[in-house]
Amino acid sequence: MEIVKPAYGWKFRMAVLSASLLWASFHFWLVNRWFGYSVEVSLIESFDATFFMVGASFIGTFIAQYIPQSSRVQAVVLLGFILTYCCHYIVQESLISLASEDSEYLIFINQSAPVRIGIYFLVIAGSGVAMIFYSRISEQQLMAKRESATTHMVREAELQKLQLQLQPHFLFNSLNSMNALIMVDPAKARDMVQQLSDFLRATLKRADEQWITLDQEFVYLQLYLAIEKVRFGHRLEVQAECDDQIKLWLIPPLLIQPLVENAIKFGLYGTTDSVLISLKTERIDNLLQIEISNPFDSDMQPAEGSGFGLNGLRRRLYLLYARNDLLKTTIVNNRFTVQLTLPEKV
Amino acid sequence: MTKAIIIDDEPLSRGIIKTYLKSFPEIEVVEECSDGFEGVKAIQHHQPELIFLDIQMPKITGFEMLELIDHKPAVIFITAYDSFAIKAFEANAVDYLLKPVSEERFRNTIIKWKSKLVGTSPEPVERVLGVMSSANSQQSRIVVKTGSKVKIIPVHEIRYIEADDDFVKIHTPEGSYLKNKTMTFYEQSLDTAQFVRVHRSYILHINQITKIEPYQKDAHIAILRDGQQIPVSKTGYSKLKAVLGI
Repeated sequence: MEIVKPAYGWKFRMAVLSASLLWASFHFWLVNRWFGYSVEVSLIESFDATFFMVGASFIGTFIAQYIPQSSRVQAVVLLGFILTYCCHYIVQESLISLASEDSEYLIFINQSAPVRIGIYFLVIAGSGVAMIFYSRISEQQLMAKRESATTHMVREAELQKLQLQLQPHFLFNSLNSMNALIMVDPAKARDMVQQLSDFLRATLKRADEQWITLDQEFVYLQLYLAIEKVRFGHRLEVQAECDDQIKLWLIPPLLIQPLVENAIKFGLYGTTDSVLISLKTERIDNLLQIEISNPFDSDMQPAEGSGFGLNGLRRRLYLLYARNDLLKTTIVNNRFTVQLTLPEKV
Repeated sequence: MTKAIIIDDEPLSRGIIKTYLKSFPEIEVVEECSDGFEGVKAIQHHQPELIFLDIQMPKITGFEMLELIDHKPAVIFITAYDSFAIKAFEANAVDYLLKPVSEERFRNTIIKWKSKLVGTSPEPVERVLGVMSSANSQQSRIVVKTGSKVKIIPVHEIRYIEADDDFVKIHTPEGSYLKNKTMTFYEQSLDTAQFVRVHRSYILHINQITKIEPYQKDAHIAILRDGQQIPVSKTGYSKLKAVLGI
């Protein structure tokens, strides 16, 4: 558990200081006017007592912070007793040594001891209780903040998944290509209708699935690539490799395909020549490593709004695997590479 | 005869426009382009009356391409899905076609254009460009033309921007480029944590500054890495101080 420390800001310090001064003044007035002792004696007594009382309260609240929540109340009471005793002892001794010649005053100190002790205890234990309340409230606020941040993250990830499933841009562009094909190559148009339907069906199925095999993702990817190839024709070349051994590895859906889609978008973006997109999957120890790379022209900064959704993907991976280091990107020899490392299904 | 150019990176998408245009023999497609760079060249060469322009294309977007041409033809935008752009078109009565492009809608658009009922004329298109580029607040790049070549300047390479009559001059380590935009436009669209309008005629990239020295009363001069001196006005100095945290 985290320790919530009271915020000793300057406002708080000023408040404590002025309250102490007020109390000291009241104490001074009481001793000087009510009991009729000299200004000097009254001053010494009021400041001496207030100083040690406030000091003991500080020590009490400071120690109480480090005591576990469950036994804090008992601890504060116990601490209150101990500190009250210490405070009373120090004040009593210091006053006796400072004003020892006045025997009447010594009797006064002795007689007023019960009242003093009572006040010390109230203030010292009271400040401890106030500290407990304060830390409970701040802990609750902290928890509420954390909770809302988590909810926000989950919601964002859900939204991202939804957007990945819908892919309006891809859908409308494909429909446009089909529209054109119907006139020039009806047979190919029929093929594309079939491919797009299969792709959409698979996408809808993905929505409910938490985990799919790598093999399933590859089949899905092939459907997607077939459609993209109709749109971009000879410009698009894709190399995808999948080892037989890892075909049954479980991965989250809608992870590889969006990355390939991004690679295609950015690969085709920088040039009007043909581009090669490569996808490699490999098992390294007990990790699955997926590498997707596309040509990258550093002079061709992507325009605003078409930025990689990599941050969203990172968050999704964090929610799935509770790790932040699963997605890496590098640019080597004018190729942009995304490296995805997936642990075994958790 | 009306000259038209189709600019779209997908051959099938260009094909469909051409097919639909067969019903309008008075419109001749003089060239087809697969990206904005080709588009700029073709428009300069043919000076067409009408262009069909895709928005999402390789290298530069359709909007960026329009910023580069001096001769402004009527523009019919073609887009697959861009809710924001569509809002901008509608607000400025600029005509657009949605993919998949339907023949009926296409026909109506051409008929409207011929009767000059819709604003495919330059002014509304300019307004759309304004909306689109200010929406991309904090631009990441600026596209400029030098002679017949197109240059893409990533904003982090900009040293400073200087007012030059009706243009602005963008200074980079590789040279200076003129752009038909206002100082106010760049003051608003560039990242304010990095670019500060230090003077009526200067916007400075703060990572270029090595020293700021007082100069006459109230005014200062900023000294850049290469020794160049840029005047800083009184208000410019207070903005600079706020950004640099001094």
